[in-house]
Amino acid sequence: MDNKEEKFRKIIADNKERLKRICKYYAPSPEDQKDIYQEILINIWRSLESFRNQASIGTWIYRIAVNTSLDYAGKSYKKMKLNVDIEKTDLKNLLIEGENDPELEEHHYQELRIHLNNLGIIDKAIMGLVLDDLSTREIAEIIGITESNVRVKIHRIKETLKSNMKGEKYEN
Amino acid sequence: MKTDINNKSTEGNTNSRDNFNNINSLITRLREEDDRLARMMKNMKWLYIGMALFYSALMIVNPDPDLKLHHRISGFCYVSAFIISVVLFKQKVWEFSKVDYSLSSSDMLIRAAHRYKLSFSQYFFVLPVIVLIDAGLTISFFFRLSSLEPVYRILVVQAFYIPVILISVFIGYLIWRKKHKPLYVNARKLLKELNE
Repeated sequence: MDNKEEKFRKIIADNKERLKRICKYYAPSPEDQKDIYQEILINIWRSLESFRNQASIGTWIYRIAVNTSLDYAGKSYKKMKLNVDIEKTDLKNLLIEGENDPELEEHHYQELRIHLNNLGIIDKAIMGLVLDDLSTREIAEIIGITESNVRVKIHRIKETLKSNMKGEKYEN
Repeated sequence: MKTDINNKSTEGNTNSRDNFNNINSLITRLREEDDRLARMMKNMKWLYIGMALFYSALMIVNPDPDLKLHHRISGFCYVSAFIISVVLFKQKVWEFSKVDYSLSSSDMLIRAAHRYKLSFSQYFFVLPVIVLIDAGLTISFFFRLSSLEPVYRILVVQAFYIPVILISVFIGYLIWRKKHKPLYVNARKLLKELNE
């Protein structure tokens, strides 16, 4: 086993759960998840030479995953979907405050998922990273915009989601 | 390259855990693909060098007394055009095969937009190839079409060559419109979304 293969195996082994989670975020169906996972692995293999140990492996992996997803959304002419895992998602932190009724939370989750998927691709990618608990600095490094720009974007997305959900509440 | 990481899923029963775990077959395929590309690039390099030397010897330095100066000049034009097109082709293959996904999304999108953009400046370096082939053909046919007036000899060659080039450009445009334009539009759209 040569150095490249060893490095590749280690990166995949160390980041398996993270990669699975990212694939789940970006691909709506198990078939798409497999495709995108495969694409990410291929791109990790191809980008191994560019990895410098001093860089954060987490940021590096996320960059490849997000870029592959953007590429995948463009190439396949598919609309990228964000599948938010309810067990992993801290809805209270994201949008909903003071909701203790599990049924209501489930209802909000469904609404939130619909509204998240109505966002633009970049906004979905940013929210995917937010939901994965990445810091503003890390998101800025991955997406390639300034931290303040990330904060503005997240704030704007949250406001849009909140107003959409409020609107729906009044309609109901 | 599309590799199958699902070999371990049997009887059509897709087991996602198997799919996520089956790294070995993927590595084998990636390794094979790397080797195949490296071999292909090496073989192509030697093929081009061999062909350039062969045509140089055949058309330029061949001691055959029947070969006149105009044959040698037109041969030189063809060989030069061939060498330039090989270099350009290699650069394009390199540019398209070495997409770095570990860049930030904005950098990757900027590069993608540049890569898939149809611009005159990107294809400017093809012009010497077109001109050299034109010159080679004109010199070569100038002496063959001796029954015609000199200016008509040149015009006859251009009458065939220019439509061929225009048709090639149009086919290239159609290919770009079908394959690359959607990627270019998508990259631009995402960049706009990113900068909003």
